[in-house]
Order: sequence, then C-alpha cells, then structure tokens
Amino acid sequence: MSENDLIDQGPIVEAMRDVLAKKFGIVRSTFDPDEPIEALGLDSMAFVEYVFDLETALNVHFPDVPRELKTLGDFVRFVTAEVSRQRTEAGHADAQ
Amino acid sequence: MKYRVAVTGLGVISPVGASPTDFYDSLVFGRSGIRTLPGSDNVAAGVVPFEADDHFSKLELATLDRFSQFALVAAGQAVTDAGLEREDLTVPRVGVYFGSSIGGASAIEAGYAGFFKDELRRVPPSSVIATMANAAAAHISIKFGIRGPVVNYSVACASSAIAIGEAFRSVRDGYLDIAIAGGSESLLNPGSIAAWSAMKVLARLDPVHPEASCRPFSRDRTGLVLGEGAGVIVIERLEHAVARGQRIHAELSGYGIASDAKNITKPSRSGQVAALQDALRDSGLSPADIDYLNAHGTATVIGDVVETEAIKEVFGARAHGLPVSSTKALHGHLMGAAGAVEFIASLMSILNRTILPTCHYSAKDPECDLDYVPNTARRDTDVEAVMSSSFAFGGSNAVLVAQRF
Repeated sequence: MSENDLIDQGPIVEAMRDVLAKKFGIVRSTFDPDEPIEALGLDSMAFVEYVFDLETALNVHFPDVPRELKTLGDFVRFVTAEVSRQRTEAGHADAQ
Repeated sequence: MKYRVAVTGLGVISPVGASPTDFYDSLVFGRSGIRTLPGSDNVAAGVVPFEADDHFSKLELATLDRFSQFALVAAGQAVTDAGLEREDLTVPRVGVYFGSSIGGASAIEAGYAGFFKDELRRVPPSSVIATMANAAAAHISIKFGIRGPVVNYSVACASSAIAIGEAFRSVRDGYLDIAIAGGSESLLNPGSIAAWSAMKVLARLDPVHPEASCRPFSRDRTGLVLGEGAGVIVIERLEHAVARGQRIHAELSGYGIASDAKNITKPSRSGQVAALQDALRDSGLSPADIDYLNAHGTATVIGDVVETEAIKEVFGARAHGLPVSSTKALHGHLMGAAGAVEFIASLMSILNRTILPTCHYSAKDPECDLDYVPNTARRDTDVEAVMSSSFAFGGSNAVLVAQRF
C-alpha cells in the first residue's frame, strides 16, 4: 500500500476527515502526508478537542498524543497504529 | 485626582431584542420575551432567539459556551457604537471588567451528562475552558487585543453591576482610559432549571399568557422568571471621549456596594439601604435628584417587599413620587447579566426621556406601595438622573447611578 493510499483511503482517514468537517467545519478531501498538522488551522486546544472526538468516533482511547508528530502523515500513522493495536488487544481479550 | 466617566458604547443580547434599540423598543411597548421554556411544560423563561452559526465558525464554537457567544456579540455592538477600532483597544490603559454568575452552564452540564452516561467516564477537554466563569472576559480581550486588566466578577445576580462599578472606579481613579464592562449569563439548561425549580422561587407559568408570568411588585406575583443574555457598555475617561469627538450617551457618576451579612438567600433591607445610600453619596446627588429607579424587582413575594422598604427608607418623602420599575417583567432575570442589561435600560431611559414601565402589573400589594409605573411608559419626561439596583444571593448589593451629559 502506497503512502497516498494510506492518506486518502481507508475508514480511519475517512473518520478523521469526517470529524474535522462535522466538528470544526474544516472540509478536506485529501490529507497531504507531508503537510504540517498546524495547516489544519486548529490551535492547540482545538487539536486536543479533535483528538477527543476522534476517540469517540473510532471507539479508542489514545493514552497520549506524542509531541513529535509533525505532519498529517505522522498523525494518520499514529492513529492507524493505535486503532489497530487496541482492536487486536480487544480481540485477544474477547478470545480469552 | 478623580476623573469623570463617560458611557460611549452600548450592546445588548436579550430575550426582547438583540440591539440596544430593539431592546428599548420592547421595553417601551411592553413586548415580552418570556415564553414556555422549550422542552418544558411548566417553566417560563426568557430565551434569546440566537443562531450561533450566524456569528461564529464551527471552529470557534468548539470552545465557546453560549454565555461567551452572547458576550462577544454584545461587546462587538458596544465597541462599534463607541466608534472604536481594534487599534484603539490594543494600547495600554484598556481593560475588560465582566460579570457572570455561573459561566459556561451548558458546557459543564453537557460535559458531565456525557461523563455519567459514558462507561469510559470521558468529558470533552473543551469543557474546562468553555465553562470557566472568566471565559467571556478572556474572549473579549482576545478579540480586541485588550492587554490591561481582564477580570470576571462572579457575584450571582449582582455580577455585572459590580463589574461596571469596579470598572467605573478604575477609570475614575485614573488607572484606565477605556473599559469594556458588562456581563453575560446563559443557564436555561435542564439541570440548572431543575435546581432553580427546587428552590421554589420560580414564577408559576401562566397557562393562558405565559409571556405575562413575571409580575414584579404586583399582588399576584409568584416568583422570578429566569432569562439569558448579555449587556456590555464601553466607558472611558470623559476627557478621552471628548478629545476623540465621540458621542457620549451619559455620564456614569455613582456606584454603591454593600452587603447584608445576614442570610444566603433572604434579602435584607439594611444592606440594600447601605448600597443605595452609598451610590447616592458617590454620585453627589440627593434623593430628590433621581428621576427614575430601575429596580432589582425579581417578582419574588419577599424580595419585592424588602426592596420597597429599602427604597422608602433611603428616599423618605421622595419615595412615593419616585418612578420605580422592573423591566424583568419582560426579559426575566438575566442573573449575572441582569445588572448590565438593566443599567442599559436605565441609560436608554435618559436618552429617550422616557420612564420604562413595570408590565403585567394588575393589582396593588399593600406592602408594595410605590409608583411602579404600571404597564405604560411615560414619554417626554425629564429624566436627568437614574439609578439601577442589583441585589445578589449571598447578600451583595450593588447600585449604579448615571446622569444626562
């Protein structure tokens, strides 16, 4: 899967775009992976609020959002990895 | 050195009008903003018709409670009315003095409602900054770049009267050239209403005429009606306003503040008397000089009697000739915003030479025997000096005096 596929497709990115539009009225048809997160136009407080609503939409809990995330690519990879990790853990828990 | 203080800007968001002119017109023509509270079948309330999306982006709304939205819109009106631009406000010696009793009541209720329903016990992070009582003051400072004192007074129903009074002192004593002062409140959310209902101080909803449920000083009064809204004024050193050629609405000339030290809810005549006398002394006026008093007049059975007694004690022989009215009959009790909104009503009385009526007044109470200006405004009247009273739960009493300039 190429980087652009990661960024523009898949249910997680779709949820990320959806929350951005619904909560803040910021409509993004694409996420450029190299774009800085600040380019979304969210100040630090709004970004925290964005993360909270993403948790709700994706039914996950981000223990902490690492400060070293700089680009939308970084952010999408972080969210995707967390969702995948937590769903796997939940699956294991169910299996037990 | 004491400086004279001018009022140069007015802004109102209320259940009876979203500008000072519309607000005043409603008060003169007796248009009530009180309705059956949507979602309730037995509560009357003064709800502001307000579309947040008309004023703010979704991004802004993500962290703005309704009380801050009202505050920002009313402050915008007042600043425009005062002929001020942002660059006039980013200079030193400008401050924001604001009042709100609760702050972001909707944000905190929504946040906690989610918390108790959600197994994960989550509360949106914006709850903290949307709820804090100084949020409105802070947003006004950010919007206009105001870097002097930016403060909030949370003194229940006297919050914004005290905010205006303290701003007045800061300008008069030479600390500031300009202050944006006022207050905002929005607590018509289900949890707050339930708490107020439990206190048994709310008016019975008039089933036939819900708009007439609030009846200050009338024998058939049954309690107060909660309302929401914001009132904001711009005050400045009088010479400052004159130097820039700005129209002056009125001179703010007196502020009195005193406390009951008796009971957390029941008002006390002695505390109110002290505040009224303090305001008169501060303005240098005598009881005979006051042409109109905009009363606190919440329409509770006890409160209106105590206020009447206090007015009689302070005004003596003048009391029965003094027009006293409560505009709460039409807009309800705006809590932390009440003092500012009613002070603006009083200023409009000077500007329009009109005494505002107490509406929905139907029968005389022997214990409330003053001239309450029942139901009809008195036009073409000499209104040179006015007083506006605000008395809070907790026993803090604040009174403002303004004069024609």
